[in-house]
Amino acid sequence: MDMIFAAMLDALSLTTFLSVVLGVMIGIVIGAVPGLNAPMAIAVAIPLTFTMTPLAAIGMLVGVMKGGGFGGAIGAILLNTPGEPHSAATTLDGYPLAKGGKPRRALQTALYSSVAGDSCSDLVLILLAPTLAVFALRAGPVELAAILVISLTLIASLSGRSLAKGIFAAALGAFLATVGVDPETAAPRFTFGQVELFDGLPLAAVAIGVLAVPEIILRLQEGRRYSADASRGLANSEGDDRLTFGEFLTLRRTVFRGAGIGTAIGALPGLGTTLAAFLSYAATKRFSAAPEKLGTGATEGIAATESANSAVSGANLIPLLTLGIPGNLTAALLVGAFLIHGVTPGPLIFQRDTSLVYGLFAAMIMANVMVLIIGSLGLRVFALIVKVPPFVIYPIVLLLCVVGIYVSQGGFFAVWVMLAFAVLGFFMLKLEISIVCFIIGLVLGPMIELSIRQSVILLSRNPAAILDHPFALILFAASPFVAWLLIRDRNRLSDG
Amino acid sequence: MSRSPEGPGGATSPGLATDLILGIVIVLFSLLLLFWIIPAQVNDAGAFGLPPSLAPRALAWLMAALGAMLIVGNLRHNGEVDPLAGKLSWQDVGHLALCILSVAFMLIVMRLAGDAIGRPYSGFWIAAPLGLIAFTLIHTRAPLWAYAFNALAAPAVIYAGFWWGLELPLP
Repeated sequence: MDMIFAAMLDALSLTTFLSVVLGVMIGIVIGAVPGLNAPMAIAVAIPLTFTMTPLAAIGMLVGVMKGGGFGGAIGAILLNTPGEPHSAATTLDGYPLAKGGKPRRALQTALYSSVAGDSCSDLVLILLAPTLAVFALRAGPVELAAILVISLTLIASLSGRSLAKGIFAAALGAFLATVGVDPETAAPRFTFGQVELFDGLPLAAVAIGVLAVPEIILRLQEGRRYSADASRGLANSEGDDRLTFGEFLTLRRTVFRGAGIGTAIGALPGLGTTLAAFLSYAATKRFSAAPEKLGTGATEGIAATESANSAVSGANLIPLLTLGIPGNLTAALLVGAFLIHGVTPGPLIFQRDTSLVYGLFAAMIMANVMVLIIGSLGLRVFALIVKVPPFVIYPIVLLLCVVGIYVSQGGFFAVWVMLAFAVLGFFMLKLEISIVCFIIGLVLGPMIELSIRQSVILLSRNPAAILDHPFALILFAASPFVAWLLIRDRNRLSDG
Repeated sequence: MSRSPEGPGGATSPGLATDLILGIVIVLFSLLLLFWIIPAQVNDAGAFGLPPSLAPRALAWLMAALGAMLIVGNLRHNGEVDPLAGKLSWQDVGHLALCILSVAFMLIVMRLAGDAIGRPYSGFWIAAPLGLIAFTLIHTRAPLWAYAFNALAAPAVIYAGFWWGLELPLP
């Protein structure tokens, strides 16, 4: 208990506090820029954390994640341009409300709902994760391998149009994770005589390369068709359009429903924020007293989607901290950041790095409060971000990617790696090969290899010995069935 | 890339489906890995447990199988509209090459200038404004103030952030 309190005090240190504040601001600013989103903000921010302590670094990235969640709503509401797919649900009511002369009310609803949803899921994480980690510790390498296989199957089945392409992306990521020194024999693999590759591919360079740079390149291409938007930020507010606390309280059922849906979905790998946002919106429409108002600028609609998609972020850390499995792109990038700072996520983190975990929990709560404070105070300023012309933003973000990778890896080699992966990422984007699966495969690759190696040794190279591991057997057997079920239902939904 | 009368990304795609070509590329890439790159780059000699090439080989076979699945799946659906038709054109590839070459040129100038002058940030101050002007030009025909801002104010802010804020040197 003393350690938990000490960890919480650590999180309240000036360095961690300032890191979280900086993270929240970066998240809101980048999230608000049309075309950029929270995972990109995290990828760009990772190099900035290299000189920080692990807690300050992870605290900053958590701040970016939470700030980015709200930042995405700004572009969706004011410009009708969602930075991420899940923000598309917010545009349904957010944009009509803003257009109808109440942009401040729309933004405030999004901000308060986002913070409330996030806080609820953080509480669930804080209460559940330590207990689940105790159970996870009982799982051996065979069980862990089975959990990894079914998680990757879930993620691949739900990402993109083609299961084969989803699994290919994950396999390619896992393959590239084998670059470097073999964990068992220390034999170099795919190093091509480059000393820099002995530690493996620089994760931050690969992540920024496939994730951020191709997106910026696409935006640079779109710029040729760019025309100044007529948006006036908060300037078109008609009278006092503030949302009072009493008015927000009337939305409590919607917010809690959204938070519940978001938390449940976030705890399962692969399902993601978009599903949470649209499910919550559909549920709100089903239970609303005035369902006909949804879609015309109802605060209820904004509260439903923002509370649900924000709740996913906290719950996503449940599989990450208890099993070491990232459920989505943001969580995969956080795993990368953990690894860069010498911390391996998974059930053992609660024993080896107790102070970091509880410090992280405190930083998450702090980040929620900071999003609320900074978001409320800077609403007018953040609303102006959407008016900054893209010909100023995208070139600077591209330079930041280059500079960030240079300083984080201390040389040009990683920047060239980033450029190479930018080409790969561009083709992956164009050919609809899931970048999410690729990054998750890359991050999980070493873990998969280790658990499979350990499983093979444990099973004494006798496949029949798996019968001694019924839980793993069930999961292995269920994987293809789950994939088939998900693909069938997805096809049916898209046909419908 | 799709084959069409208008080029590889035309609106109509009566030729091979993009995924079919992708499947062929994946299979060829996997075979290249299995029969050339893995044997050349991973040394199994002296391995006492499982060979170091086990995981890469398994993953390369998996990728080959998935590529084959894509080929077979798209051969069976021959005649249907290619869902990726028009997604990737020669214009896109040209734009990608332009962007990558601009960044590469900026990096080379940064390195050469940095090495030649030998003072922190000298390469950055010469190459970054050039790079930013190039990126802005690629993006759109922006007003003059945008070029000035990107070439001067943006590097100054980045310099201040990294030099004083993070105390990290640039070339």
